[in-house]
Amino acid sequence: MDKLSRYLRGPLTLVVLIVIARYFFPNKMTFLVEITTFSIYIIANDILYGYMGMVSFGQPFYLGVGAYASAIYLAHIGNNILVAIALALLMGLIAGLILGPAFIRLRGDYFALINAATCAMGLFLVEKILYPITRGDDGLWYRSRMHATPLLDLRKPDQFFWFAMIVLFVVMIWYTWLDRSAMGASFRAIKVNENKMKFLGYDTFKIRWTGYTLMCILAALAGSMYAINYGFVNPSITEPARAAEVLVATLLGGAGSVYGPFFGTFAFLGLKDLVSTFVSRWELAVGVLTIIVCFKFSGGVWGTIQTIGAKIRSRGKASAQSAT
Amino acid sequence: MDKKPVLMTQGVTKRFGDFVAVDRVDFDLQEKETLGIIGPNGAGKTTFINILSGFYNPEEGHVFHDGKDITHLSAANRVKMGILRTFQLVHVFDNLTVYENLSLSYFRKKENKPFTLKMFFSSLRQPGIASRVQETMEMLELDHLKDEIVGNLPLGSKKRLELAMTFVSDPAVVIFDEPFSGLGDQEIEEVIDVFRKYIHDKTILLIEHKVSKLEEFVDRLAVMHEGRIICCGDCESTLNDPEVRRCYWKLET
Amino acid sequence: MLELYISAVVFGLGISGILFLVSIGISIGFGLMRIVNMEQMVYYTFGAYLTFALVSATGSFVLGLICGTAAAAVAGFIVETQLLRKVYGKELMFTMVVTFSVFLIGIGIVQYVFGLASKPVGMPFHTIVHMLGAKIPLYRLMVFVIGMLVYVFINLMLNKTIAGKAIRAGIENPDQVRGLGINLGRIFTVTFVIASGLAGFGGALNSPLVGVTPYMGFDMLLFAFITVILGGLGSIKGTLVSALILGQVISVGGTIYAPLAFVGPFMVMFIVILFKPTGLYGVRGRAFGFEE
Repeated sequence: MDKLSRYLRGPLTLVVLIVIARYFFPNKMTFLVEITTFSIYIIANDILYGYMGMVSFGQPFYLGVGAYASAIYLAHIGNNILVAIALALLMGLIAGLILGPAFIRLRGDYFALINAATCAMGLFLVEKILYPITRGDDGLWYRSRMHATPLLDLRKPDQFFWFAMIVLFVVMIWYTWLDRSAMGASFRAIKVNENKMKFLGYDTFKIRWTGYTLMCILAALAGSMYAINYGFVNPSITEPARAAEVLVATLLGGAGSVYGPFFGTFAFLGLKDLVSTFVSRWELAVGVLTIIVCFKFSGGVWGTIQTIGAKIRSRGKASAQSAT
Repeated sequence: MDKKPVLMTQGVTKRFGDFVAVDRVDFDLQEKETLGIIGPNGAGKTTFINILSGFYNPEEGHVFHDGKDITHLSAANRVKMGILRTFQLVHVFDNLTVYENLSLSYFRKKENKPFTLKMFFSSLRQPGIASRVQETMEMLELDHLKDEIVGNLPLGSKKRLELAMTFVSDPAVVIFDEPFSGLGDQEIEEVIDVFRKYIHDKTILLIEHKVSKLEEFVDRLAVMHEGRIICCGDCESTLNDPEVRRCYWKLET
Repeated sequence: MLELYISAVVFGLGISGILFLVSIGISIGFGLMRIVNMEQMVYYTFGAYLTFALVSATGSFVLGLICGTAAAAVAGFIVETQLLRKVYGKELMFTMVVTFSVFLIGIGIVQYVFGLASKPVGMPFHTIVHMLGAKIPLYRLMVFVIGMLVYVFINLMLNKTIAGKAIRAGIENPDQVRGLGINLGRIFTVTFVIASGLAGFGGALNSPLVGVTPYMGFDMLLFAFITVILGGLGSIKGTLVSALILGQVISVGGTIYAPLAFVGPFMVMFIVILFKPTGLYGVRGRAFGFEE
């Protein structure tokens, strides 16, 4: 029982905090859903970057895989939202399994670059080549085609909010579990010394492949949630220019930690919201922000919170000792 | 005593361009013995154990383990057969805790074939792993560092950890590549202490360039010179061998 | 029909020239400094925009070309001395994120100064040459020739001058050069300024062909990536060969079947790295976390 609560405590606190925020700031609900979805997307990237140390400049591609899988299904084939989500997860899995073996063999720099190239490819696909299916820049609109789902009607924003909370809760439990499992440890071990991992008898290729595929599935899940929440999808979701957002948010939160992605998303979207009221162009702000984070706050928001927490605790301990 | 060779090579040769790093080496390692290979820098010792551990494939010759030809087996598969090695420079996972380092090493041994899905559903804190890791940590006096991040530890502790990572999975053969290199006197003493305690019933191959540190615990001693093993036998006879004296002492003193 | 393909080949050569100029910085930057400098496309954009500004103000394309190149080189100098020095020797991922941020900042600056709209740049001349019945704009041919001259020039510099030899030795073995007492920092700066100047030069040359837009760097970045991946990071010859291949794939491929202009380069790269993960002429080195 005690063990179970260790995995539930963190995620539960997080979800409860968001729900409280929703009732205190009712007009910020869209923003909270955005944070939830985006943080799943960032968790996906954190598995790749924070845990395994692989930088990808093409994350929007994987988001797009999920978004378009759901959107194409809803716009052309069926009406069931849950099937659309399942389909997105399946496409994420397929993308990971197929692209994985080709990509993860590459050196770190090539990996980053080929992802960027893939992302640009994806954009071109949905803009031009698949025009008959994706309607190019006009995007796909299918809100009216979505049928109500049992229990929670995902077409209604306030009910989608609860759905997003459930998804976040499940993902966070899973992510906490991953962090403590043998898999999570091997991800982190591969990051610093793949050689030693091989000489401990692990098949590092398979471990990387697994991590990469997980990333694809999670990113596709986030994409699918975007698609359903907005009721339309256009190619801007896979724009390579947005690859930076993902890295910035990951770094901002503190790479390779359980709560980093969430806090990173919160900080990033919050700052973007603030900045966009003053500056109309986000590139300059995002660029400057990343450089500051890179050089000054290498631990990110979560890392800083942890350091401060540790300081307070040690001071508490010290004062307790001096009292006795 | 009836001993059988655990690890054996026949005519193993490795070239780098024109340079013959390892030249037709025949060698065997018996069960439960500690064998030291000494030789000056550049004698081909490290290349030789790189061949044994599956880092390189030799151009000629064969490597056998328990009578099976493992010449072209990958490093990971050799580990599964119980052939473990350490590196000259300390190789540990700096971003993990001491406990995680050890449990990762033991997890592989416990599962033997770490099926990827299984790795998800296994916690490294499970009792089966924890007890064994705890035992090893106590043996090597690492238990007080259990939850420390390895990157923050001094070099001596890291080296002890690396040894622990090897012992924890109870390997059939351990190959140590210059276990004393880069360490201070104090740290060397620590490592030798560890060896004294745990080395006797294990099959071990040790590489060093100085004989002085090995003499006390090796059963047999081999001397490598210019890619060849020029002599192999018990310590005393090896050191008194005329060819060894000619090739080696001349360089040592 | 034949003339269609002849002009496609020549168009492709022009594209190759541009690709070579803009990718060389990424390739050398990796070979010498072990960083992936993604901000090279900032210099490309700067070069193009300055040409645009000067052509519209004075009407002189040559002046635009010179100032564009110079501005790019100056920008490269500032970035290298103020920022990149701090990232040398850090892990590759870190350098990529930092240089990508510089790229974003550069785009932001361009947007701030010149606005968002894309603008055309006047062609310096419209001369058409006839070749086997095909009409070919002389300018494209000229771009190709310039690209080749730059290659020859770089090779001469690397092989004949002392600085060049130091750079080459630095690419092969940075520690050794440091051991020889050569000021590697200065060599880095010089190389970087030349590389960014070339990227700016490429942007200036390309501006009459494609016009200028703040996001032009992003489009080019993709092709530059493909060029260096295909050619192999760190190899100048590889960059040239892959630029030549890709130019033809884009142009001739695009003539045969329009989408190939975009998909073709990607497919070629994908197939090559499947069999040779370091590209055509890539320097052997650390694979993912694997020491040799």
